[in-house]
Amino acid sequence: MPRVTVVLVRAALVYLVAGAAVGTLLMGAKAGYQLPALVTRAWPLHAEMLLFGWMVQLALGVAYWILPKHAAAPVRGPVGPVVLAALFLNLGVAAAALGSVVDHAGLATGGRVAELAAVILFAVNAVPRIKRFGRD
Amino acid sequence: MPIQTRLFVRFALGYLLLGLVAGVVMAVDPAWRFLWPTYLHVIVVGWLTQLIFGVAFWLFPRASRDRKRGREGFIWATLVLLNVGLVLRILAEPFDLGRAAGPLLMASALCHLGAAVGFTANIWPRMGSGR
Repeated sequence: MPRVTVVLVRAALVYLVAGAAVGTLLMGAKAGYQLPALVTRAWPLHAEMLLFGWMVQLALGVAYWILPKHAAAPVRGPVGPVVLAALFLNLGVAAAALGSVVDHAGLATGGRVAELAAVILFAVNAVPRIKRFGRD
Repeated sequence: MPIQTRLFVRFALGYLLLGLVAGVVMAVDPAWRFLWPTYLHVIVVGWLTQLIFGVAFWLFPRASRDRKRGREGFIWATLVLLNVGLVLRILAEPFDLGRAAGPLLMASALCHLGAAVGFTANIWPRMGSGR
């Protein structure tokens, strides 16, 4: 398993546990337990962490590992765009989630733009690898 | 395909069907829209996450020759916690269970947190440090 996949999958696992922990706090508030008011506003954080931090990040990591390889090195295509995609995705998830919780439109928008950039960078690597097995 | 994966995938398909039926019910009669948060979690946790857990447990690199798919106790705990948590949520969230609802909903969320930790504990060491 390539190193960038290990990083992406482990980051996804961190977001899975963190997102579930935030979900537990949200459920505590819903169940009527006395929790700080900030907790009741944390559902965008919960959704962002689990949708983009967990699921999208896991998909990108596994796709880089498992899509058809090229015949010539680098067999999985250029790794630079994927490393940048990982960086942008994680910065984007953190910014979009924080921006939603503290109601800061600039931060939330910046986070979304970073997430978009991450997916475009990932596509630079992945699109040429979407081909029949055995084709260069 | 290991037994745990077969169970994860079968449960996942069951929740997909249940979620789609709930979607039809909400579309036909808007009075059932109170099912929305439960519907969302049945699809995202019961179907998507459960399918991911099952397939990842099956296909991710093996931990070692003698411990092929890592510590299997963690994945059994994950399977039980995810599904018990979802059943508790399906019972306690949409229907009026009075004073029992709060503790059941908290138990549901804690089960899901435990499932996330259990899955992580199984998968994390199986990836090595990359090469």
